[in-house]
Amino acid sequence: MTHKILSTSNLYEPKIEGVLGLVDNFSDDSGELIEGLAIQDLEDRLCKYHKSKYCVSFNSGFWALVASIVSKSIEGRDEIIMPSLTYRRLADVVYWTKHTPVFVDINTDSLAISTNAIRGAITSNTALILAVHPIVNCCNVNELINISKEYGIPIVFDAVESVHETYSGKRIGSFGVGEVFSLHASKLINGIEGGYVCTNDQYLSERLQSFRGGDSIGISSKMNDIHAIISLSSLAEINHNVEHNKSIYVKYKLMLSTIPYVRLLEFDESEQTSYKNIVIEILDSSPINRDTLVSFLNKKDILTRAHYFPPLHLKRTDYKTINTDMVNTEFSATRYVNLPCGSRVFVSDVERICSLIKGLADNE
Amino acid sequence: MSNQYNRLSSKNCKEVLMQIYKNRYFTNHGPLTQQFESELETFLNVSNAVTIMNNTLAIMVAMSGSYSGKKVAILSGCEKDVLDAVNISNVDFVNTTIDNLATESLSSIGMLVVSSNTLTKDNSVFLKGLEEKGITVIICYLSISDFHYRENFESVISVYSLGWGTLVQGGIITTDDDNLAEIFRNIRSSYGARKAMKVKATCNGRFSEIQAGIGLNLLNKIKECI
Repeated sequence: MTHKILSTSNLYEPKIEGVLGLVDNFSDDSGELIEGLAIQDLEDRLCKYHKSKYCVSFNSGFWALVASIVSKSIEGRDEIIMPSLTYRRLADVVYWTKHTPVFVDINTDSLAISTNAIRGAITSNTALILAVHPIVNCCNVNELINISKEYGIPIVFDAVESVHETYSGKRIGSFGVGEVFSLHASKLINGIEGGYVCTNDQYLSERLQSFRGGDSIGISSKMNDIHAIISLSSLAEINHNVEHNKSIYVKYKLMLSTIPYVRLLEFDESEQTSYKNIVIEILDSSPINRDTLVSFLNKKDILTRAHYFPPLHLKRTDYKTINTDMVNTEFSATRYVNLPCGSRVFVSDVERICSLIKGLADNE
Repeated sequence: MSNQYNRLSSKNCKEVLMQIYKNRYFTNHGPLTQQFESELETFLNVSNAVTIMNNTLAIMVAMSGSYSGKKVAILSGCEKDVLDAVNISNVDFVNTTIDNLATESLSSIGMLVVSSNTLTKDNSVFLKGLEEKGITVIICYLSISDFHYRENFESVISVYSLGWGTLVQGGIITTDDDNLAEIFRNIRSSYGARKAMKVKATCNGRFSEIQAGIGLNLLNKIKECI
């Protein structure tokens, strides 16, 4: 029996009728697409959705991050404080900004950047704090913003996996300081490709627009109109997308509760959440280790991933990086697995995945 | 020639979108991108066409991927995209002219970046001489329909701008050097790389299926015009 390939990407497909209808809406009487109209509409709607004053779109989340760091960093300073247990290309983002990544530790309970580690890493050469929301739940946003204010160090949030989430009841994207999102097909809002920054800071908004226009501080990084049209369609259907993800999450939660050697990272349901990413911890009592499980499932076309492995501080780069104490990061780096999720995964797939995990462990 | 493609019809957009939905491939380096790169290689008669998210990034990838540590000379008259790319590329650069290059020592120069509109039969001989001395010459074309400038001089690395105003943009790096092409693909991202190669940093310059679908449409129009 053959099975479809299951992955950790969301791959939500907005209804084609809606997408084609928007193409007509943004075209003129002669049937030609009007430049910039869809992008402007997307930015306006994202402002309303995130409860943000400004939204600046980009060609990708990667370049939205580069633009945000360049636009907010303290001039003449070199160091960007960021977690090590994060997106494998995030240090490259910092490289293109001509700054040096300073890797700091996480908290083991949340997998979020440690506020104590940030305090310990701040020096007279710190240009910016790059906080990254974990893929399940969020950073302690209020405390991080307080550190930023206390030390006078700007902060930017990488929120590419935190669309639709709230922290203390406030929508991610509404905190005003510069929060960066992705519209890649693997993310909650599928624009095929793209990114954006939400902020309440007019000066930052103008700097970001200047960057994407390729003015003195930046590089041409404008979004394409057709990507904006698909993003608009996905945004309009976001509740449907989240409902599907919730059904997947609920099934995982039920089935994984019968396997004693794994722990599901649960969403904080006192907050609004997307239920998008499914992450499990392999416990010390497990008869199999993390890598054995990943390898076994991948051979069955279940494309699981070791969660952010290797952490960035263990990767060799040809550019300068600075490491700090990484006890929690190194402890966590071998324990977590991202399981398939998103619009192409169904309850029956979850049953199969969990049965395979249970069967593998039981047979050991 | 490129100006006539500054508008994009909703009919073309819909055709591309329906093709993507039919393929059900929404992430990067899908069937349309692979087809576009293959057709570009045939059209431009080159071994490798590496599509990049936009033209500025394409120039940046070309410069970063072939950077030797020696200075990058930017020839006067280059387009804004070239100047933007060099500013963000983390390369050591100097602005210069053909006259300066002809009279000064070239020992500190490792690369020369030139816009195609500055190519003439007169300076092409000089540029060819630079390549023979081991200096990498990158020619930046304003459009893939400007390939006729290659009659004057064909460099090892070329970068072509692709665009309809700002509606849909893209860039293409071409080279017959398979090793260099693989470095460019790896800098672009792991999507579409044929083998993993050590590069200093990646830049997420992925080309989307939308861009590829529109690109195929543009390429067909250009072929019809020739």
